[in-house]
Amino acid sequence: MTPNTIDKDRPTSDWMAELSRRFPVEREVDRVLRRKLEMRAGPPFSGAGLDRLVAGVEALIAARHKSPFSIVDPHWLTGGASKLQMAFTLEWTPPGGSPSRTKLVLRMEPAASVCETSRLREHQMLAMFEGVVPVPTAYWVDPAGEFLPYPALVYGFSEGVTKPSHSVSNVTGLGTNLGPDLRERLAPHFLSQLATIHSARVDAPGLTAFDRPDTPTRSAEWALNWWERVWEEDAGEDVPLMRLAAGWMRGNLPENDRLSIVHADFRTGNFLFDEKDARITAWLDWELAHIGDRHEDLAWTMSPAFGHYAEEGGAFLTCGLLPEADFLDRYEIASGLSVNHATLRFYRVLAAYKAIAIVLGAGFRNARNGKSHQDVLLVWLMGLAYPLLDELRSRLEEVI
Amino acid sequence: MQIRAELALQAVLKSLTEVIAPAVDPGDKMAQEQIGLVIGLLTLVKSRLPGAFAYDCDELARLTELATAIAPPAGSDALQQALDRGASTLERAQASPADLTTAIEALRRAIGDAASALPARSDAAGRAAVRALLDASSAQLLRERSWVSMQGWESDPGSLPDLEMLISGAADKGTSP
Repeated sequence: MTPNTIDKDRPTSDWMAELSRRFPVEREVDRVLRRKLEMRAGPPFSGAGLDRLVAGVEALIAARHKSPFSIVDPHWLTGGASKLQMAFTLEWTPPGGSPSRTKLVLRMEPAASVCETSRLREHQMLAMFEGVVPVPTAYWVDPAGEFLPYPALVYGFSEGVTKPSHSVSNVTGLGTNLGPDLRERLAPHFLSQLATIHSARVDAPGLTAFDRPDTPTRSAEWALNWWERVWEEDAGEDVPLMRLAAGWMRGNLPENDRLSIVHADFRTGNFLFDEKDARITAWLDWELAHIGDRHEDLAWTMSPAFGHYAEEGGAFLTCGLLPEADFLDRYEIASGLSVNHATLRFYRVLAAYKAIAIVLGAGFRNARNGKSHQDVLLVWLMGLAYPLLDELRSRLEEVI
Repeated sequence: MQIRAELALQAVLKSLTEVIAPAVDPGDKMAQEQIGLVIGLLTLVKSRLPGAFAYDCDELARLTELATAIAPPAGSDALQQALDRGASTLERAQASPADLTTAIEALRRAIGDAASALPARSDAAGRAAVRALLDASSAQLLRERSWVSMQGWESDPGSLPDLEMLISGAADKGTSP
């Protein structure tokens, strides 16, 4: 089979099996990626009216919670590029509690997502980190879309904002400028919570949907396989620089000195904060979290797409919070974990590669096939791929 | 370049029909009428865009045929000059936009297939090929970044040359990418 004969919009079972064999990943990741291809030739996204979602949530809760309840004030939330979110209030009596009104969020996949991930894994990570770092309380999960049109989970609504009231940013919180005061007050929380996540145990019994890397290079190998597979599955026109990058990474997999929980999208725009107290109230978007190498998080967080230059010609600020060197120094102090700069260079190549696979590969394919509730946002985000490709080129120049 | 008009129009039309139009105030008759007209016009443009080049070629061919027929009796120098220019243009318009994008896709794919194995090469020819690929990527990315610069992704957008200058080749003569 050659690339010339592959119709990615109508994948064959042989091609799916070949991708699975060429790019081995964790079992649950393999399942969701295969499912994406199996559904690709199916209908575009539909069935997302508020009434339909309320009915689905009612069915899900009724199956899990045997007392009377009602759902009021359902409405849309915006902000992310990969999932559809509906906020609502649940009037109910929690187990062992008294009658309550609880604000909740339904987080549901579209027909295909720019980040094709497992709701079960996201639910397990949220449950693991409740009380450890600020996260929404995980309530119920519909991992196979039994009750809702697509797989979904329900978690608690968190108060807070992703950017200051008067700031301007691009979509999904990219390019957010927090301002000098907030950045100084938020940075310690940002660092200490990243350190806490990386220090968490990776053998928690609740993480049943995760596989642990079993060789020193397996963390890097699985991470590369995941995103090279997405690129192969989804990309429209080829980008030789992406092939060069994958070839270099394949020959330079770093060894992991310690397994950590990796959030995998730890950045400004993915946490809520209280503007007055400068306190992080919730870390969102755990869908990509996995067990791997902490440098993967560090590299992703340092992506230029999430930062900006300080005022008056100052340094480039990681996530708009603090200069790169300060970020790494203070991370080492907060976590007690070292930064291996050779490993970090590998993961900075991977971080750019992954971001491009998402916005230019999956974004293109899903918008072309009408698979999401916001195709127009996906097409807009494709433009981000070009500065990211230039970042990838710069990173390769350093190592190749 | 993948942000092409066909894909953008498809996504815009979906957003207009499924999200925006249903939210327009039913009591605002002008807004109701204009959202319908916007959707109708964009649908027309989207459906005709792929054939626009062929349409123009077809029209030019028929006009040159007509001009050929009437130029001698008309005895007009202006008509003869326009006919010569039109015939020359038609002769040069042999490849369609689809031909171009198909050729681009094929070359990207073939170069990509070759690129995967290059990092493992330690010989001079292999290293030179890597260098050539990185340099070509730099030049191409300058054009792609300039193409989307108005979206606001660049931290220093003023450092990007104008797209028109880049694709005309003027930038290569002045500043290096």
